[in-house]
Amino acid sequence: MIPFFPFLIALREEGIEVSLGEWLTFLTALVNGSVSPRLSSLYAVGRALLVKSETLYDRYDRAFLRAFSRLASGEDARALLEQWLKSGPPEWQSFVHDLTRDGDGFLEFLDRLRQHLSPPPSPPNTTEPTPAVDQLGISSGALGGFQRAYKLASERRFRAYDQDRILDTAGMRSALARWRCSDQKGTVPVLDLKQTLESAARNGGEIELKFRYSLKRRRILLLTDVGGTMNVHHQLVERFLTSLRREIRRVDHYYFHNTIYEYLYRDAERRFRISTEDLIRRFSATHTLVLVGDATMGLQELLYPHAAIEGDNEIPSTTLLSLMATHFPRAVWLNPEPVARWSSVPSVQIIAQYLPMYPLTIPGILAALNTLLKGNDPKTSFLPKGSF
Amino acid sequence: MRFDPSRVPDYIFTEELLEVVEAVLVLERPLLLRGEPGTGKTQLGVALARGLNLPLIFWPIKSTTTARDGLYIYDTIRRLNDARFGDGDVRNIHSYIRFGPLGEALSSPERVVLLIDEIDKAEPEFANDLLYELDAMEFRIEETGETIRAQNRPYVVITSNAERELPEPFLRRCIFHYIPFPAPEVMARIIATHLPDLAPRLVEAALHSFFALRQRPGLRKPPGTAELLDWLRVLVAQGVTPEDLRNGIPYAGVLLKKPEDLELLSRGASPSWSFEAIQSSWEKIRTRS
Repeated sequence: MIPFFPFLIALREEGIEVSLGEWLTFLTALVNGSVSPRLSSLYAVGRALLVKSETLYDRYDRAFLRAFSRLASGEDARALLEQWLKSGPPEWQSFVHDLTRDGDGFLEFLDRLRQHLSPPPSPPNTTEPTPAVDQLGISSGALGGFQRAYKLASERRFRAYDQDRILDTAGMRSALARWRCSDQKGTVPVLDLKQTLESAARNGGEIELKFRYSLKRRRILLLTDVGGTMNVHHQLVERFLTSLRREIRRVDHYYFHNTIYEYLYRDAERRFRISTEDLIRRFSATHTLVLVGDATMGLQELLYPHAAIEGDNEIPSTTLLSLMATHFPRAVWLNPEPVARWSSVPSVQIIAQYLPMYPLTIPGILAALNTLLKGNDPKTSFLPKGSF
Repeated sequence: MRFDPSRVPDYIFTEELLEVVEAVLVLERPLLLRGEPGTGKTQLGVALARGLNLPLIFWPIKSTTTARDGLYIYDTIRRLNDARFGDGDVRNIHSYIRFGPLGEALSSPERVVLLIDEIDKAEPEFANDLLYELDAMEFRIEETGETIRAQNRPYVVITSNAERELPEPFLRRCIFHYIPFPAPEVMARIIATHLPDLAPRLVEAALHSFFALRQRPGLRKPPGTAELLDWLRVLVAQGVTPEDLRNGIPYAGVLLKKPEDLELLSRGASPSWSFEAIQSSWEKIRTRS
């Protein structure tokens, strides 16, 4: 078979997980005529077969460039293509000749690709049209130069979020839907006679047994941190709240600043207070407690009385946190800060000792769900080992 | 099977897209299309059928659609009714089995193009439920024990709005193509095919405003091609001149569908925090007290 192996290696090095099946399809495509003997065709078809998300298009470009531009070094990409062309039908043989004298614009093509990968710095205000399709028919990684730079930037931002998928509302909703579905787990199904009769009537007398799950609706008590350092996360938190409200009907929502003190607030502007004691009295242990906050603050604010940045506290926050953790057996803290930063923030480490902490990402939400179902499992902890 | 883009003059095929189409025809694998709303994903499926001169079977997916609906429906109610009232051939189960769009595509003696539109609208398991049928291009009718197998593998085009992540095994079997948002000059060609009589100066000014609007940070739903075409029609009908477009965007409601976006636009055009505005409101408060 054609030695396109370096390309596969380059793809995997870029983090594109090409499966064996996909790779075989690609190799088949090379010889059965779906790829025409042009480098641009190899590029386009390879991308359609090996890359299944536009967010990976940039990486594909990089891998392609790397695999086919090792011209200077001993390993010759041209030889690779030559072999491919030679394996093709007889009418391809003329291209072999073209290739050896750069007739196919081989170097030109790679140069163009290289240009796409390093976008010229363009001021963000210009509406100068960026050509998306050049003469070689290579669209610039699906996006124009400026947008591509933006895309790269956004990709980097999403890398900061623990390399998780972008937290789009849809993804978050499907993760939260699993929270809702988890209501059914562990309950005993009961035969639903009414439903069974109805479906039998609708189905021409064919009996289909319908079961009902005695649903104990999961109620959520949600406390979110607002203001201060949380402002940078407001979009993410907003998306989380929207998704949560859509997926779970009973959500009681209160606000706090930095950490839990004697008072919480009914509104984001923190005008109407409710005492934490009242809150604990009002919400029974059947509620699931979800706290959302970056847990980033000075240690004294957390550990000492009379240290709150707003108002005055008689009781240290840690006492209240432990009170909450004992009152609500199902409690998690979701942190919008990337996990990598946690170990350098002492207040995060302390809070995580009271409440299991998870990143506000899709895997984080799912891991939090696991904790809520099975109790805290140290194996799924996101905190680095041995810290604190 | 040859694909002839000249048969579909109103769809703009890029070189790259043609390469991908070629691969789809040879490999006979489903083509998964993704892209922003309004980039012509569905249109491409239709264009493919026309370019190949094949019949198109259209399967729009809804939140309630199941994979089984696509294959066949066994109409028990009709059979029961027929048994009661003595109509029809009740003994023949075949007359109570109706094919869905996928079943129709697989049972068709000639080759067809099957367009599964907006696959991400269905439940998450939907795509996985189709894996076998799309792979083997055959299915079994449980009630009769028959197996329906495609004589000619249909070309399958699937569109997705990325509203939901599709399952990995499904993605591995597809040929993937992302339709980028048209660049200004491609957009100009699209406009020319749909609204050929437009004054070039108006098109140029409108495109300028349109792409500037799309790049505005904080926009929740950037307008797509369909919105642009509608907007141009409104501009022509209302006699808007290219000069008018320089001082803002008239009839912005055609382009922007979210109240927040319209608010963002009005904020940009006349800043509500201007000195005059603050002063006048201060005056109002003072006179009241």
